[in-house]
Amino acid sequence: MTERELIAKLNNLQNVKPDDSWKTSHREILLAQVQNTSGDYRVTGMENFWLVTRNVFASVPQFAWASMAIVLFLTTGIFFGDRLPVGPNNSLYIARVISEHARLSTMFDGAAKSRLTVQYASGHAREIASTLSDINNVSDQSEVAKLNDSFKTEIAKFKENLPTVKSDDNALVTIADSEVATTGLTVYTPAGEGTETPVASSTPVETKKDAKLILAEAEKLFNAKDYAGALDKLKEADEVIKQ
Amino acid sequence: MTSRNPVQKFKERNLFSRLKKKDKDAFIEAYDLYVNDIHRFVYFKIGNKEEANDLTSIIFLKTWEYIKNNSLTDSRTLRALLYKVARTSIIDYYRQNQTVSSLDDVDHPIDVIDDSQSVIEQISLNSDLEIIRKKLPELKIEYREVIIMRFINDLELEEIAEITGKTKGNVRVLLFRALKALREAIESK
Repeated sequence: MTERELIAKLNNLQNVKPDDSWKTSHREILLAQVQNTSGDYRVTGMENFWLVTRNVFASVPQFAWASMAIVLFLTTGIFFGDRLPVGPNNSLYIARVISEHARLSTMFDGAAKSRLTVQYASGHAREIASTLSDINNVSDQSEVAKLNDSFKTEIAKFKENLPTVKSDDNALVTIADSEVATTGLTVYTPAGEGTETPVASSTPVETKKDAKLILAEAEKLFNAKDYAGALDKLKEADEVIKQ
Repeated sequence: MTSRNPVQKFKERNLFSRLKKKDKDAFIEAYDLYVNDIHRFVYFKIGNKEEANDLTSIIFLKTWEYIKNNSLTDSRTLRALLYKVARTSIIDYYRQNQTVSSLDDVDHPIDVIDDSQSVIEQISLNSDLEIIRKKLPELKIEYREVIIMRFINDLELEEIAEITGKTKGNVRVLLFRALKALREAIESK
């Protein structure tokens, strides 16, 4: 006989049970004896509700709760993360960043992607400046150093992705050199060759140039620890881009 | 081996919480839930049906007394508590009787009650029972005990460890040796 067969035979013995008649009669005796003991406590409906609730939580393994929490955290981050009102020193911030990365990685339209990158970078930079402007928010110097680095990274992203503007549907226009832009007249270079250079208003280039200048000023102010000033400049840069 | 499903575990946990508050109705529900297991445990340990009936009654009453007078913080499950009381009651029984009965009791054949079983299954069960009935008493008490708890009454290793006061590793080793001993006993017939 193998061990498995032996165990199977032992398992079969689970069907050995006492007589039903004995069980019933003994139950009645036990009930009478228990009822006769002192105290007559019965768990009320409300108490039972709390016990059930507590036991539901206790019955589900901790691993399952942890998995559910992670899934919930990621889901919230992916779908609502970019709307979460959290700052860079907040633990939910990472959920928001993951959400933004996820959103950017699913975009194939380059222009739209750049626009969104600028929007996110601008948001992050402003949040960092805002967080640092309140000294109570950050007391740890290493945290301040990290936020300084993050600010620079965000500004760099902001500058890199400043919008390229289409003068019309056929020609992709690159931004002219800032020296030219200062004159107020801009030359747009169409993507296709042999087409006549379109004449456009100077506003987009000024926008680009102004935004760059404003961002540089914001960076200077930030380095000088004038966070409120940097914040104002960032808002100004946003306004210029929106025009 | 069939282990208890999460719903059963939840039900047991809830029952135990109510018993911590000394709820009498919960104790009767516990009786309905565990009487078969405890009776079977006692029966296979002492080998006499009538004595098993009496001892099972005593175990449930003692358990109620214990629940009434204690805060139940030292037991993790109601099942473990019942088995602990059963073990001490059986030890008391042995002390009082000074003789160890065997399962080989022709005057009191075991009733196997399961209407859903076919005649063939019933015969097979009786044949298995006959083998175990003869060979189980040949084992050391602690071997017999872990075999009953693990393979007949389907207790988890953690529960057996808690009931017997051994570590999980010790219980595993004990089970291995107990099974080996039982197999050798059966093969030596």
